[in-house]
Amino acid sequence: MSPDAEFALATRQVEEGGEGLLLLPRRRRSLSNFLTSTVAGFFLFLILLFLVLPIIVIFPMSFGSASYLEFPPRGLTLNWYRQYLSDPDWRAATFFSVKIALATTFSATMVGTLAAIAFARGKFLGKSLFQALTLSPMIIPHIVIAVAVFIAFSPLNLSGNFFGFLIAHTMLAVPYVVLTVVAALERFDTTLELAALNCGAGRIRAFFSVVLPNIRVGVASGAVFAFLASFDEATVAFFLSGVEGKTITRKMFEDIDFNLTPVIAAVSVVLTVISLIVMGVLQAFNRATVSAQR
Amino acid sequence: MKGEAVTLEEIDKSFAKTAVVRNVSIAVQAGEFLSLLGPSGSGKTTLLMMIAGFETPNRGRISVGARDITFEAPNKRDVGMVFQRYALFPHMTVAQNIAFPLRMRRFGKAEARDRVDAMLATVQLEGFANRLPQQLSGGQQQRVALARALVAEPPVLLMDEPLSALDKKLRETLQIEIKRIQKRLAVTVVYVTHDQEEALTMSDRIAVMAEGELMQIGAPADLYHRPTNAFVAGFIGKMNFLDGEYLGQDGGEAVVRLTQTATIKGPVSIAPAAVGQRLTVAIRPEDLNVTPREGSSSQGLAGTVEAALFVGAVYIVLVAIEERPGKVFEARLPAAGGAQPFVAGDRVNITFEPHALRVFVNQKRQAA
Amino acid sequence: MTTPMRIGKFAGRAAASMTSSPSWRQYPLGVSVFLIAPLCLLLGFGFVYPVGRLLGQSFFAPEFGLDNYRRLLETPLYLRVLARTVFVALAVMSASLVLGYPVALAMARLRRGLSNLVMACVLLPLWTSALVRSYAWIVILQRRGLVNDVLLASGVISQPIKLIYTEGAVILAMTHVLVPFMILPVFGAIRAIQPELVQAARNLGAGKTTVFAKVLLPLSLPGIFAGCLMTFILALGFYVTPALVGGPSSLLMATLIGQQTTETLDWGFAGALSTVLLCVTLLIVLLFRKALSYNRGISNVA
Repeated sequence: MSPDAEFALATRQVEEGGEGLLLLPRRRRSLSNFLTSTVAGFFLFLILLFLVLPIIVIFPMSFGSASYLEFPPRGLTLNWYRQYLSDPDWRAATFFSVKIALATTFSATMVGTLAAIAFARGKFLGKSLFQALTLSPMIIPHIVIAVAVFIAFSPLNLSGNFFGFLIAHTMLAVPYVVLTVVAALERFDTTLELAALNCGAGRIRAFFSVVLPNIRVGVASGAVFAFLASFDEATVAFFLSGVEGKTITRKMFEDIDFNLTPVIAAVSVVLTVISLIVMGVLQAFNRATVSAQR
Repeated sequence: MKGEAVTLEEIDKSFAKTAVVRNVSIAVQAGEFLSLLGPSGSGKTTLLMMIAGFETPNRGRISVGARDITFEAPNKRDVGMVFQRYALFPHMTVAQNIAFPLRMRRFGKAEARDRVDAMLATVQLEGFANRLPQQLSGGQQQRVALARALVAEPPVLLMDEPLSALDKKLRETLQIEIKRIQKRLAVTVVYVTHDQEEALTMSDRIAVMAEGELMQIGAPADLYHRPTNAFVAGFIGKMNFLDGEYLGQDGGEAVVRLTQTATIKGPVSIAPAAVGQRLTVAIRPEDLNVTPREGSSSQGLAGTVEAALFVGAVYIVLVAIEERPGKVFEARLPAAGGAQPFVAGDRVNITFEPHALRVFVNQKRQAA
Repeated sequence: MTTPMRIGKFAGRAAASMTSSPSWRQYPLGVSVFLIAPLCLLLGFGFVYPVGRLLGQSFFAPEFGLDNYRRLLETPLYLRVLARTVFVALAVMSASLVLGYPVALAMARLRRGLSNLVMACVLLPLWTSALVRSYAWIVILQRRGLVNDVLLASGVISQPIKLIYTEGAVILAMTHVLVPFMILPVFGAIRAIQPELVQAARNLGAGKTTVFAKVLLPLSLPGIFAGCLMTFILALGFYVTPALVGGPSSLLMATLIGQQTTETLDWGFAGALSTVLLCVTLLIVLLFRKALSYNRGISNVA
């Protein structure tokens, strides 16, 4: 049910390759079949256009020379990127977001991996309750969490504050880590751990030299999702940001509402490219691991 | 390296209140190859897991040499183990896998390398040091597992059905090889298997387990020729069973009525308590004589041949016992003449020497 | 297995009584507690305490009582917002299903190169921030945006029409944001169908439509169900997109809660609204969780 678990499943299944064709049959086809598949293909194309176009649109826009949003752009310029990079507000917000995202990645991966081990291997009272509680930030409306965290953290001087963000974003990111690491641990053959113990390794040695290397794809996926869960997060960031501590998403939110300049398109492109790079690196890592183990 | 004795004393183990090992005591001698043989669920693997330290007994004591290891952590036991599916570390090369126990014991680099090389030579995998486990065949992985278990020269080697995933031919080659390495290193081996042939060919002694209990322990020939209970009789080798009724003693031998017309005398393993008690009589297929029956001459058990199969050295003759519907005896007759001795439908008598009989009382269960 | 486990070494000394028999296959209780402690602290302080406090505030701020809830129930505006939120979530869910199912089907059943292309088209929006995507929709739908430009240029309209800040815009943009959450579970379910089943059906003379109606559709129901649940729940509490693309006439629960928190500073009422939103969400999750796992069980067997 989790998006990332589904995603992991999805990518794995695509790698395995497809088999028969339903929409576009490979073999000889009759005219009616041809028409059906052409019409089906056309509709599919429209839906895919709907999925992709809004994201593609921002790229030419960020290079357009007009000061208002126009499409297609008449002239090309890097002006908006220059403005973004030279604006101290944008720079501060970007730096703040990156700092939070990196710290969140670290803490969520640590906390989530530890908890995932306990969930996968330990036996204790209320385990399923704990698991449900751990995953609930994914299901509970983020607006509720955002408002709750804002109201609770303000009196503690944690709003607009690095540590306030760290706590809130780690809490939002931990479910992704727990899900991916638990899945990896369930695929892991526990006899390997027994074999390590038998070879003379203590529990901790066995974990670091045998368990961790074999679940590293799961941990890495969890870390990447944690990074994006923090870096792209906008709802909690909107409420928890202060005048000083402001994330890039909050700054974008404000600017979209108040002055819709192409700088936002440039920032959007930057955000999207960072997301794509991070996911691309993860994919490459997964693929390298999978092929190394074949 | 020298093997050490492994002593199990009155071991009890239960999982979630289900007893899986009940009051088992076994003394494995130093340098001995002992097999734990039994069907699945007999508790043999659990026993092995307790020696390895992955499980701890609810009661009893386990020692290696003079060391009590009952509650010792598995990584402190210095007991090598080969797992059912090898359990090689997939992210390490063959050499790294074999070196792992040495790394854990803080061996110097040079010595570790020498030992790994020596071990690779022992298991005949010299050229494979830098391969990953998944690039090896099942038999090769099995050799790496063996090398990893032995490289730190533990006094005891545990093997959990190590050959069950391999095909028959490879299994036989590896049986010989394991035996050769074990003899050379004089390591004590506790070997879990459900394959009686494997146990018979490899072991110095076999401990037969059933339903968590030790049924009998002894040398392979002992178990084959002198089983002390019906389970062992049936589990080791082929055995024909027939129910009977105890009629009394006659000259130190038990008189047992098998059918309405057939009564036999035979040595008793355990003296029955009362006349009239139900007994089980067991006899090996090679101890049966089958003779043609003419007219109404009744000698031994009357039967009808169901099938006669030529299997090389012997004929296997399946005979339905007339007075016991559904009961079929298997006889093995020497195929000396070459001519087929019987055809289906032949009326025959089954006879046997009384001393070839085993009579059992009170057996819990029989193996088929 | 329910006996408390201890670390082997200490258990050795403690086990003189022979009551505990630790297994090294599982981690001992002490280790589990140690492993889970950081998470407990985090969730306690970062999640349970704030949410509990917010819910509590709905009964205590400004003074103890059910005033906040009475106000919610007695003001038609708020009830309309609640109804609109559910309606928008249902619309987003339905639109996601209609648009997502063909994509999932294509992804699962096209040949490899094409299905990878479709997959990329699904993952690209999934990996892009919801904020960026909402912004993109503003660009597309605004008065001088892409859609109006095209319509004006082609002569369909002579004046730019109002597209943005409407309920339709909210549904459209939210569908775009949430449709991957529909596609992926459905894709997983269709992939899980054994190809032999489809082939067998074709061999028995079933046409494509029949195969779809009798084999693919029923067997992908668990995925549809999971996708619908996911998109509906996420749509109920979505803040970013309605806040940016929606207008005053398309106020939703999430935006209303935000307003009450930052503009009117009525935290008690914000708490009450949050409680209602939370309860609706949890109710749906609890109601359908069982059916969901039941369906998944069936899909595993099939």
